[in-house]
Amino acid sequence: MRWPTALVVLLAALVADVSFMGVLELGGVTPRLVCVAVAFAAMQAEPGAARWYAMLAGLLVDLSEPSMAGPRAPLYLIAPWTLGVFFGAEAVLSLRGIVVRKNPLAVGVLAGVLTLSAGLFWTAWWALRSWYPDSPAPWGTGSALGEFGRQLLTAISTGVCAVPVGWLLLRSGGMWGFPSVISRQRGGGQARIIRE
Amino acid sequence: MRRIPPIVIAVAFVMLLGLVPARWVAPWSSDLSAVVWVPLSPLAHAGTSIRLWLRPGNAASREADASVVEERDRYRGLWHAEQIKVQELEKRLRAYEVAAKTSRGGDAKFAAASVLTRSASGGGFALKLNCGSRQGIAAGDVVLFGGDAIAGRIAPDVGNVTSTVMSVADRASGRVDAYITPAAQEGAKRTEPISVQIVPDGRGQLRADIDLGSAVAAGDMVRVRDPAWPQGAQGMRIGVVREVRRKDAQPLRGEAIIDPVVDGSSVGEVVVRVSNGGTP
Repeated sequence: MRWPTALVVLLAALVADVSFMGVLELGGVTPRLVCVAVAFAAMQAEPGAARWYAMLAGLLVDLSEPSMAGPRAPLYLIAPWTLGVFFGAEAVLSLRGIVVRKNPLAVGVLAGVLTLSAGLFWTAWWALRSWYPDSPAPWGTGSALGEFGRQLLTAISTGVCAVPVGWLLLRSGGMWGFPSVISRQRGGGQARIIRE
Repeated sequence: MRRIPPIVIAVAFVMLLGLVPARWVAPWSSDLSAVVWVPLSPLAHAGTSIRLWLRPGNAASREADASVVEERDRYRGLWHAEQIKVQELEKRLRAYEVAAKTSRGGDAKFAAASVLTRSASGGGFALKLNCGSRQGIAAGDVVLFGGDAIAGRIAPDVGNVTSTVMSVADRASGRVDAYITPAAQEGAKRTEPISVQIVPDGRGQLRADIDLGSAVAAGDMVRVRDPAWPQGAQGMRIGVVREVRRKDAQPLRGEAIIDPVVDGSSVGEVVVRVSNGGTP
């Protein structure tokens, strides 16, 4: 995976998420382009690179979405999205073998899976953190289950949005420098990978 | 001995970071966020502008002479603030006191700011602004939108060039003393405001206990009258009554459900009332 390309796409997705994507907001639910970018990379890239990319993406999201801590200070808590997106990417890595990677619909489905996994982890982490007196949960007095329902809707909207975005990303596949699996050595269980 | 993969160490480190108390993380993570967002802010500003152009948030922004409407709202807010002052002066006169303080708002100035990012927080929203302590902004300053509508207050930990707005619907905002002016009395020379104490419900709305027999109705305007808030915020709009209903726990009492007057998704530019005499 070519990191300069991946980083440009990630930053563009991050900026769009926090500023522009509100234009697609429906009932308080907004798709997350960062999750689409990570899902796409996790579908195509080497597992190691995909994991680091997911962690970086989650870290940037954590640094973009503050939560108001107890004494009214904005708290940029590093972990909920960082780990959530990481584990979401792990889910994509384990599922990518059963989908057609060059199909935009597959990007949509796996982006939805990643967003749902990340949202589930984010909700669980904040539910755990809300036991701390200085870290109230971002969803206020609502329940964690209700918040997870919102994350489910976000995952669905992200999946829908990921189909056209995935098509664009697939068209730009050559710029990413993903490896292409030509053959597998079944005996040793190792994939022989060469660059496109 | 088998070497531990770096990604495992990174995950463990992040897990540890996510579990430490907020007071250990907040100071440096805010700075890290500011550093990350310095180069991205112009792009985010452009994205926000495009979003607001494609999907304008309220009717006022679609009006051809939105600036006139804004001017009207600003002076209407000032007028309400003056009304409060008149009532205070009358009270003092009745008690044979001399009104020594005649200037309201002190030497407060205004600083225009653009919204860089928006996120949900505590049932309300948090807006990141492109101005900070260098422009004289300090924690607790009131953030206005569209003349006299209060979007929220500046949260602590103001950066040099960035700051965060905590919305009035954020649960961390706590209770606010306010008063409700019946819609029929808006613009009237003498009004009969109904004092209430509003509380964020954590779901994006505000609630206030009221007498069921009072004249409060849907559409009535809610304005700030809280001594703990800056003088310049008194009389400004904070919400609109959505509905009045009987309290389940106290059937003889009523409860007003109030929508914040500012919708976080429609805010692109705001004005910060700098109350510490800074130089915006």
